[in-house]
Amino acid sequence: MFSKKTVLILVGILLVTVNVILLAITTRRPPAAGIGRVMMAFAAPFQGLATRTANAVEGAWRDYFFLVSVSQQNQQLKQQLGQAVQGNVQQHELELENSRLRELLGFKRSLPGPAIAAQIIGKDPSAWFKTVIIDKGQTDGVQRGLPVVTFHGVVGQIVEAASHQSRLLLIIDRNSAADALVQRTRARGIVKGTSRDECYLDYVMHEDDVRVGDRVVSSGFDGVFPKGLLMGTVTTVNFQGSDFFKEVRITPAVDFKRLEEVLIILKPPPPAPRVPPDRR
Amino acid sequence: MSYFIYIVSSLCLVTLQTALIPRLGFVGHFFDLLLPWVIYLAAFRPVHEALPFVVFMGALMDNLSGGPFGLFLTSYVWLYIAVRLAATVVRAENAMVLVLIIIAAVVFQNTFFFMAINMALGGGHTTGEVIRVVSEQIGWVLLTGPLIALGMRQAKRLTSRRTRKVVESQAATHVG
Repeated sequence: MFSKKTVLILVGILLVTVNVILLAITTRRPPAAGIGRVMMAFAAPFQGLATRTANAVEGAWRDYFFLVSVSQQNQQLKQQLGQAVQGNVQQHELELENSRLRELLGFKRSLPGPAIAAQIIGKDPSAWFKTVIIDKGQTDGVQRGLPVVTFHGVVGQIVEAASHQSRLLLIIDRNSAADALVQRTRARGIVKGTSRDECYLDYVMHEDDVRVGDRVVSSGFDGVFPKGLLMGTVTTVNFQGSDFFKEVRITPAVDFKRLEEVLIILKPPPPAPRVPPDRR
Repeated sequence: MSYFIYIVSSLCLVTLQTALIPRLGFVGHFFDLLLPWVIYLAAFRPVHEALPFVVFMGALMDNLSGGPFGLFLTSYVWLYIAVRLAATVVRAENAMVLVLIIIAAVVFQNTFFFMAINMALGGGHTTGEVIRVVSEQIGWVLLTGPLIALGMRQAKRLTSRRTRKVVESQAATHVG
């Protein structure tokens, strides 16, 4: 009835129509409904596995090739960071040193005689003595007996001078003694070391007015330390009614644990005139 | 050669003790680092080699310290004699024994200093203070002592090996 050609054309038109109808139907339904969902559930594990494998291979590939350069870069950055940190520390250290030296310089101008700065290069090997080694000696004009101070106050005196180094006896050493005055009342005494981080103000008369918090300064009578340098602050005052002298403890003005630079006064001042007898 | 090594080593220890360790605020009172050195010399080295060097170390420390001259020297010589005698009774190569000897040396040295200072200069340091200082030093010995003891043993082995080689070569020369 129909030719073969006509049948083929009709079948083609039918297929296109069915296809259009199916497409029209499927576009109105949810995307993973029915068999599509089953297929997706079936394929998903393989897809996932494949994707993960591909990612892993890609990652390994990328990491492997980039690792060397990243590692090198990391090393360089670490080095740079280390240098930066080191530089920062050094800069901070220089700033602190600069600040301390400025203080010393300012203080040096206020001193009665010429003075040179020295650095502490060693401490006493024994726990029982308080001496330090400084990096200035006879060639710098340092001699035994010269007073040593800082911006904060009295440090001690030179007890031994070699050509380029000297030994400095700190005022907290038990062998140290210096004439001193209580600044507020002018009460006199001798500041003696204890080899601890404190000193005694000995020979303070029982009638002298000394209170906790009073400042103790060098009197200048010993011919070693210039007059008026801060030695410490009174921390305790003990007095028994029958005692002739008061027991006065002072905290030194200088923090000896943090001491790094000092000033040596090269020419000690002449002894201050004696206190008139009616003072005491 | 031995004296050169001894001098360089002791200078390193003295520098460490007087210039570097005091900068570390947390350390407090560290023990005298030359004590293990004296113990090593007393326990493992012959008298003619060790004693002059012990005297040298004592003089060196006395010059660096503000104490009366001879304090370190005397303490080192007495320690040397004591360890020398003790080494005839105990086996000093044992690391534990070495640590105990260092502790005993620290206690001895501080007691000696304390007594000498009190006798020479009269009172001042309280017993509590001495106990605190000695305890700190013993604490540091306990922390660092085993390492020092191992170092001493290793040094002893090395020197023994060297001595044996010298003796063998001399014997071979003599036979030849």
